[in-house]
Amino acid sequence: MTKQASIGQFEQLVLTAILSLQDDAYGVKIRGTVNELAVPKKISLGAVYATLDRLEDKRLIESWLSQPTPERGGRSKRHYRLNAAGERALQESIEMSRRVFAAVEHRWGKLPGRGHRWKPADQH
Amino acid sequence: MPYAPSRGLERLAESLVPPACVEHVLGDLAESSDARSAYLRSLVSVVPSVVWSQVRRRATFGGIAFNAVITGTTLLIFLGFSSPAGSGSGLRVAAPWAIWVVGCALAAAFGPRDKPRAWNRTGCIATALASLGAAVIAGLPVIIVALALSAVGGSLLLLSWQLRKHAPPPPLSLDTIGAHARFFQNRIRLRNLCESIAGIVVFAANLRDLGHAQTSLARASHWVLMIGVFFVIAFLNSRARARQVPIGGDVPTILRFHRDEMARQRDLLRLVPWWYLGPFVPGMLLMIAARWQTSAAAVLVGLPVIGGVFLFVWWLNVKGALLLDGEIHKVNALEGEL
Repeated sequence: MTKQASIGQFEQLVLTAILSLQDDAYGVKIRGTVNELAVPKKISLGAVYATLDRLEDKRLIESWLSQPTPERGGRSKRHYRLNAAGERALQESIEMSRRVFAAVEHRWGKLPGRGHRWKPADQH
Repeated sequence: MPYAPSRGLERLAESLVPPACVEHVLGDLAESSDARSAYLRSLVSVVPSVVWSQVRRRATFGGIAFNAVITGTTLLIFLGFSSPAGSGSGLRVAAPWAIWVVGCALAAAFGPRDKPRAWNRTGCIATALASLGAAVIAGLPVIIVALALSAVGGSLLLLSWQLRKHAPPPPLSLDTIGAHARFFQNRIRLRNLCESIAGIVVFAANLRDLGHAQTSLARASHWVLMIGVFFVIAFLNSRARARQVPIGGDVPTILRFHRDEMARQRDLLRLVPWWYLGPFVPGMLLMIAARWQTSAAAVLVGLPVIGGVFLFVWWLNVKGALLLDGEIHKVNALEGEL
């Protein structure tokens, strides 16, 4: 049995952003979605790049360069997508978050909503 | 309308961002900025993260630590040979040493995009010149420092050439067994090269200390340690050496070869206390006895540390043998598919 890579909270956010952006997952867009998920925290582009590199080193995501586009000064985008191991790691991390949530609710009762519910970009 | 940076600003950004990520990072900066000031702010916040990320990926923490240890030891040995009194050169060597270690890590991080293991040549030359400049300022003999850094640079080039030879193979299958066998042998070659370089450094350090030893017991300890190092290097390059994967062999032949080779290396890892740690024990005991006469307190502090290091090395090798056992099981399962 192969060892499952464990992920931290910020890595969970970045993986979730890649998953939700599907074919449009590249640096700027991933940072935008991570910022929406991490409200009220502001996340820098540098932190997102470092995490993307780490996730790629853990072989949880794959990346490729697109064709250069004139609106980016003729520069390419690096697109990202989850692979099977990344999906498993995210599922496992979500399961753990659920257990944490249930344990806290068990002690504190139903947790109040904070008013920031995330929706996919096309439903805003 | 996205912001288009001026040619000068883009050149500045290109020089600060490692080539491996310059394409998409500069594109993202242009897309997310609406003015020069925003572009500059984003560039300043992004550069440390992307440089650090490339240092971690391309130089690796293990590589930096190895470079730091090998450079520090080599500089001290070379400078010790040139000035036996060793008049405070240990502290003065810190600046060229730090510049060399940091510069090498940055040269690796700024290596060409299409060659993940290659270094930035300009960065290498600048690092060497800056280290020599620091040596001049610190009042160290520049020729000796240049010789020491050349020895380290040569060793690093040799290692990087070995590492560049083969990328990790795809998952194990009957189609990829040849690639796995070659990868394994290359890892053994690399391990033996690293250990041999480290052994030569330890040998040289003992040779230097032999000249300064005051008592016959201390001199004997250095001689016995050098014999131990010689034995380990000889063993690594004979009994524990890598072997050539049969050229043009069919799948069953390569499969058997790979399994037998892994079993051979596993058995050697289990015997590490005898052929790798054992040869150092007589020399270490003599050294402890020699030091006991001058500083018993130092021995009492040093003894548990040395014991801990020996146990740690043993544990690492036991773990390595267990990992190889797992790989052997996988190859055995593959043999059933034939």
